[in-house]
Amino acid sequence: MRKILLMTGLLVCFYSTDLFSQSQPVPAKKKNTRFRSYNSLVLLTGQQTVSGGIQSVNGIEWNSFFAGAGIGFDFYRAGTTPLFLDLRKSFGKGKSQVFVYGDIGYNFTWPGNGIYYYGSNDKPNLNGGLYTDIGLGYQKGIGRNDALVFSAGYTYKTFTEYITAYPLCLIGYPCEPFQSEILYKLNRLSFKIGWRF
Amino acid sequence: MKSISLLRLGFISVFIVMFSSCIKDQCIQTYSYYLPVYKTTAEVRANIKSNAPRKMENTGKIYIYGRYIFLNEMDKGIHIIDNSNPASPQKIAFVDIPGNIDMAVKGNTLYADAFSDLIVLDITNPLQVSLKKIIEGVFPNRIYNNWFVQDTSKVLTDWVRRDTTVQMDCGGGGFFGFSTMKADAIAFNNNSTGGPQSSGNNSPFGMGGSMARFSILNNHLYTVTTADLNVFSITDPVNPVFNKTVPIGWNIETIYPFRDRLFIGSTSGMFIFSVADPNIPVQIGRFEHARSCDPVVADDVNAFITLRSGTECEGFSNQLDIVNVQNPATPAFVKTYGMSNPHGLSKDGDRLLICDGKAGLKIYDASNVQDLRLLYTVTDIETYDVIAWKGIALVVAKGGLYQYDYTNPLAVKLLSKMEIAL
Repeated sequence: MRKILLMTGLLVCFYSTDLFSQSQPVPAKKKNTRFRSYNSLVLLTGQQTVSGGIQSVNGIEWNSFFAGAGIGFDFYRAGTTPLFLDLRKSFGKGKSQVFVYGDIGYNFTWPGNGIYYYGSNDKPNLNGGLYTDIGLGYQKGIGRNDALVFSAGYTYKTFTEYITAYPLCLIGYPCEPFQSEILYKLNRLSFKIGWRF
Repeated sequence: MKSISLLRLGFISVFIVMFSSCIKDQCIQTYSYYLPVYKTTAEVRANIKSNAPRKMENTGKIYIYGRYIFLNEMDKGIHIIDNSNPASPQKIAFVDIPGNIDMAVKGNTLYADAFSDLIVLDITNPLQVSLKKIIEGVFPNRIYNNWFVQDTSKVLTDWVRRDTTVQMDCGGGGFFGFSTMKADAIAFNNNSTGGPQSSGNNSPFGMGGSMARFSILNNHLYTVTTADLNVFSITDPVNPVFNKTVPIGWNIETIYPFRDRLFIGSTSGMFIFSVADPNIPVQIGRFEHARSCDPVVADDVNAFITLRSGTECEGFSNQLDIVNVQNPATPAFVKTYGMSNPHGLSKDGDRLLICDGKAGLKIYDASNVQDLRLLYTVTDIETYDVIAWKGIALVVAKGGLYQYDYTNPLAVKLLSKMEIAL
């Protein structure tokens, strides 16, 4: 709840100065449905970690609703490729709008990528996991169809790292490898700036 | 307007900083470790006898004597298998010997290690094996993985596996990947008390084969530790007498007797000892090779050494080296043959059988060492050690103890397989 309140406050920074200050909303004659593409740079911050990513979400807008599919690169701790469904709802009319969005999907890990290394015989092995992202955004129309898009949200990704380490065996016998798995549950804030067309 | 933008920027920065400090990652590590199970010395010794057969799980060295196969269960004891009919071997007993890895048999007497002790068993009737003698402290303390040090006041009889899940410190991922805080997850979270040796890969070493560390030559038992050669007189089989320790070097692995010589394999080379005086082994030659594990067998003319790579072997070579040892003072390299990941080997006349790991069991015609001819490859098994004996190859492989009839090396036949649980 605290996170949502804080994010709401963040969005107000944009909204209060642009959306409410519009003295002359421009009436736009919209089509009911249209293709939209949102392409963003993402800043990700979490526990002692700042990283980034890129995303592209493409789908269909229907009145104030949007549904699409997204793909991206997420470099937070371990590089992953999220593939997800994206739903969003806009509020307000005119060129400046606030929207809420929610994403859910799967994080695919990259081959050969890993976090911990214990020697030349250790092969990093990651398995993907859940990807979610919810947040609030603000889009400011530029030109006829384009818009500059800002958003802030909470995003969660999981993946599992499998570690096999071979202890040094001093008596010449095959040693039992030490096997371990680490489930990463990563909570981040995401701040996106992007372009919609 | 400018002040509003600056104010907005300030708000955003504050939110980012505040919010980031609220966010925590969770890293949950799951792993297994082993707890030692101890018994008193009296309890252990009372149980060193023929007990009911048990499942083969983590087998080690193997020894053939007469119609019996003795198969070590790592750190637990010895399976006794009646191999009267190689097509249908039968487990008949299990002798509980905590800490056992090596063994050798002479007549009706079996010698085995039990941690630091040498024990002597009467196996006249394999169904009623009895403990005859214990010579304490003749082997150095065992070294376990993960630097486990055992409680020396009791006897370690088993390991109990425990699975555990702990929350670990995720550390920091840094700024766009630039971090010095990637802690060692295992080093900081490994509560393992050591030990080893769950039921993963089997560790097959053949007593009587090429990977043995105990060997009997006439009236003497020779054993190698990681650094020494020990000599026991077994003129009176049930009363072995410890004679002498001969320092050799480091990383000693195997011992193979042939006539009045001992061929001792280490990770850095092969040592040749003369036992013309069986009480006083004397090093008479040495052949150095690349750092690698190197089981060895020999005949009158040549020594056959397999070198393999791997974590415990450290090296990068996977090959068969043949060395002429007619003049043991100056062993002469003959030829190298490429292999996949060779382990144990055995020689029966002109037949040379090599366990080549996942590449299977290879049978060569070794009548001309300059031109070894591969006669047959048994595929689909991951082989570790072999004893070639009267046309029957006893092969320790992943998942089973196999017996093959190689009388006709061009048409090798599987006689039997005893399951080893993995």
